[in-house]
Amino acid sequence: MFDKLFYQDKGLFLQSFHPAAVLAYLFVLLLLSLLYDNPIYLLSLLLLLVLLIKGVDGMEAWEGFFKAGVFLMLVVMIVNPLVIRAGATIIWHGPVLPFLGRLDISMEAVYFGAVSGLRLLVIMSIFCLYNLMVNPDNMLNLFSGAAGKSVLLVALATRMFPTMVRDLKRIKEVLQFRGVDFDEGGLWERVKKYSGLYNVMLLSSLEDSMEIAESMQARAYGSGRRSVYSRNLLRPRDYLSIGGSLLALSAATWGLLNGCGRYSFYPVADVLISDSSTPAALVVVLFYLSVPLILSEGWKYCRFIKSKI
Amino acid sequence: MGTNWGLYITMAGIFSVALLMLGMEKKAGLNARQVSLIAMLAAFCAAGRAVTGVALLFLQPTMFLVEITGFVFGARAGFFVGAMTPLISNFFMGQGPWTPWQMICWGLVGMSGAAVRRLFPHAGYKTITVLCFIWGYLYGAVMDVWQWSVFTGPLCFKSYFLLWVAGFSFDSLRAAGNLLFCAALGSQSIKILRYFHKKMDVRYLENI
Repeated sequence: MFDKLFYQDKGLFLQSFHPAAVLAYLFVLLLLSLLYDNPIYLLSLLLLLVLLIKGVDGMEAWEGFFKAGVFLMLVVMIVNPLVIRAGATIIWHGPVLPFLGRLDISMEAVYFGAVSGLRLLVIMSIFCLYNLMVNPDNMLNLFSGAAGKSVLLVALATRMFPTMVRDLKRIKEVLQFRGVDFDEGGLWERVKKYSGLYNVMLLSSLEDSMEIAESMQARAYGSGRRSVYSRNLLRPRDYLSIGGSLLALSAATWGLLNGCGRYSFYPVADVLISDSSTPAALVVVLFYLSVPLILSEGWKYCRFIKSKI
Repeated sequence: MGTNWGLYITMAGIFSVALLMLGMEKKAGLNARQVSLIAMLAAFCAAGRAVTGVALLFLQPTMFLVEITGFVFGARAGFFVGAMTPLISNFFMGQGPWTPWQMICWGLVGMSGAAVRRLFPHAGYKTITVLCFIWGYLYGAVMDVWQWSVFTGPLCFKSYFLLWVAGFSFDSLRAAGNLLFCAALGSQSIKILRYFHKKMDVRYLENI
């Protein structure tokens, strides 16, 4: 059931980028999603992300994220107006509560809650895209030069995780065959039964770790400097995408310094499009950000582009 | 909104966790046994967090083990196991901008275990249990700071307080879970980890 959420190598063009290029691109997206306040900007980032997720054949996975995101959005929309007193357009006068004062709900606070929820949805989509676009091993490999042991730790632990879950099931079954009924008895009795299971798990997995250590030593771990080799090539598509990300970031910074993408909710919400520079800045940033998307379409339909990237 | 505190706090989380990991790695000089033991404990904690986190809501038999790891193996191992736990389990539960702050919080849980051993060398699992209970609330309070800075506005003490109140029942569940699991499993876990600590501690005798 969870398989859809993780990386699967489908041989798609969008999955063939260098991890550094993907990281730079997603980092810029994350930065912009946190910097922009204007709902139109956030909505267009979401649209771009949905198109990309469609490009990596991940709509099914995204649906789960979308549902969770909408739920959290509703929570933020409900909590936010209760907390915030800054809005000017009061739509409901509530009772006076101890600690909190008068419970007035303002239009702007509901609006701000909705936009916060939208931002959350954008952020979740970025991570959904990350899960589908990059092979986690390649991503870890990127950092192995700088922090080899941390990367080794993460890789080992991630690899152990499914084994651990499988062991848990196995040991539980063995105990059940021996007559331990985990669903029977009061809370304390159950805790005792589970603590037996826990002890066996902890002991056996730590014994396993000693074996792994021995086999690592047998393979010369720690006998000298670590050797590194990498098969990941930086291709023209990676340079183009990194360039696009950097240009998008600089265009967005320039825009933000000039007020494009900024938005104030209190005391009264701004108009969405204040002047012509607002959509213009958005179009420029979106164009640079859609470089991977354009390349992906070009790969499909244009032989010239395919031969060059 | 003026200053974008959500961005600053998220970025501060990312950079500080990266720096902490890098610094600890350079200082620790991990050998094969330490690497595999830390990885295994991290996987164990992550599995505990992910498997029971879904089934039992916030009752997770995990935080006390991170604490005990710090208590038995020292601050660096405690930090590594702590920081890896949310990282690994979020691969399965959902990675997000909340991960760096979770990593810092869990890492601190592990380090606080080591601090207990430094301050009270004769402390047993009861001290750890009390500390685990406190961490149940403290963890919620620190994570609320991140959530508060990113998703609410205007940022004032009142909005933080309300957010904290909204999460209070979850925090209490977490604290109660920590208390229950540490009271039930703490002393055995300390015994098991001490046994492996002895087993790992190899000293070579020179000139024999």
